[in-house]
Amino acid sequence: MIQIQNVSFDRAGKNILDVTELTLEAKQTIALIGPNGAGKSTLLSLMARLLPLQTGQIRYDYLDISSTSSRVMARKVGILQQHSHFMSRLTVQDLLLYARYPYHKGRPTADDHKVVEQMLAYFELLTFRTTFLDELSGGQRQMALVAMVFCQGTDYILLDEPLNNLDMYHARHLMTTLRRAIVDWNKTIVVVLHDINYASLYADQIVALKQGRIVFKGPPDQVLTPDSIKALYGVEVDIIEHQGKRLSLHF
Amino acid sequence: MRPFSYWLLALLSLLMLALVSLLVGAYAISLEDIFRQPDMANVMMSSRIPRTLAVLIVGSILGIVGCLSQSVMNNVFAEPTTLGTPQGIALGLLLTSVFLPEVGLVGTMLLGAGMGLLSLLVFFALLQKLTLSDPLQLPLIGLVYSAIWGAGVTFLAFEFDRMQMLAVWLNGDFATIIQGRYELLWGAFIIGLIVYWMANQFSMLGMGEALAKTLGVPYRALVVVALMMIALATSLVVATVGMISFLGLVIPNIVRQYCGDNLKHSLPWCAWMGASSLLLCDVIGRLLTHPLEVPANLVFAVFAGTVFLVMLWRGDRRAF
Repeated sequence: MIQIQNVSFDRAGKNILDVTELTLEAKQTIALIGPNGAGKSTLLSLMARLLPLQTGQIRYDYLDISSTSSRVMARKVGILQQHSHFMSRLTVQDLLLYARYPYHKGRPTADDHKVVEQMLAYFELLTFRTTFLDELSGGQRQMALVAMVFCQGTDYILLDEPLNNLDMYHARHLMTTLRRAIVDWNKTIVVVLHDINYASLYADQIVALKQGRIVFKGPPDQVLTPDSIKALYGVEVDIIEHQGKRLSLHF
Repeated sequence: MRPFSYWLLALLSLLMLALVSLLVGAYAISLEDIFRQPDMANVMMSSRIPRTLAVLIVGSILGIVGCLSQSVMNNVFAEPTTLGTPQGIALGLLLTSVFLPEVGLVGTMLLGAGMGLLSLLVFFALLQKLTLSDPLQLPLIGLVYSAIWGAGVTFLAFEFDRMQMLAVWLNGDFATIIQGRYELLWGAFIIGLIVYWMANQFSMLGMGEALAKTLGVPYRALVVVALMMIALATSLVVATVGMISFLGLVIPNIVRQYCGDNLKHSLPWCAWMGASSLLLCDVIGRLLTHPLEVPANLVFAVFAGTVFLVMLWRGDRRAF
């Protein structure tokens, strides 16, 4: 369970996030949606301790992020950011092995190699294991980065717009793989999504943010209505039911 | 071929090159001479062997240091020369030699390293404030940055009549290396071994601050340790033979093409390639205007400049 209380964040004298109370149940996929500049990435960065908390508390199963050491937190929560700038001439298997750092501290053991093998197989990356990251296509690269976060072996995984720049096939492939992996590996995922229909199809819970505040929260088939989407994005949409899921037509 | 056979080939070629380096110089020495003529054995022991060892150590440590700089700065164009480190070190050496001449060679070298570390830390802090839209901006900023340190050190050298020393520090040349004048370089050799021993940790720096932090890597502390290694090793090189510019830039970039950014894999190859290319340049320098010599730094600059231009020509900013 993730508990967020009284978290507020100012940048350059301007308030960009103010969440009084948000509780996210474990073993679920939680989609964060909202217009650009709503504070989704800021919230995720605060949750991952990439930004220092200015006020309030964030707790993962009663582990308070401001009083827990980063070594412990590195085994509790992992994040995949939107832009990861790093020296990208790493092979896929090296990348996955790096994600085991919280356990091996730079001296990988047989256990770490075992986890890497497992994840390479699970995310269908065996054929690319010795390929350099900068030689992969966008879809393969994203899959490798997702596998990396899973290798970290954390209960909680935060993903910031993982579908960015992916084509229809790869976006769908990534989401179905994620959906399966969450169940198989017992994860709790918080994912920022721009496509409301992906949120509706794959998330258990939707949390909508606008101007740094939570507008609504709940299961997709309850909270996705033409009115709520109009309130969130300022766009008139039709909501249709397809195989028991709500889809928004916003064209 | 298995990696082992690559290494065998690499070591053999380096040995051959070292042998050539032992025999080439103002006096050409043949293998027989060493055993027949005591003079020649003397030349060997006091000049040729120290010189060859010095080149090997300098070449390999600068390759390693360049590779490490690129991981720390997260930029493929980073290396001591593009970060203004030699100028910072020269300032430290100069100030020490003027105001604290009694600290001796090791003390001077350490104070030089201290100033080099300061210049690296300031540059690193500066880099955190900037968002580079193109990695190529780093050497441009570095150029301006080293010019600032360079202006300061040149002014002081001029004031204290030490211009000649400054020229020696900034232009690597092995002609003056004799027994008793290069042994400090073994310190750089040891630093090279330490960097390799910590390669897995230093590789994490290349992941960038955010990713490293979420993996529980003590990022800041590791950065400081890495910068200390870079400053110390570079200071040892500058104080004994003088800087070889851009070795740390071109060698690691050629190596990463094949070995990637995992330092555990790439560092040994950076060391090998740095050592063998510098030795080749030094031997060429000895032959070009025989019996006079062209400094190794100059010969290497021609080679490095060409490689650097090719890098830019290909326009691939991520990797060479």
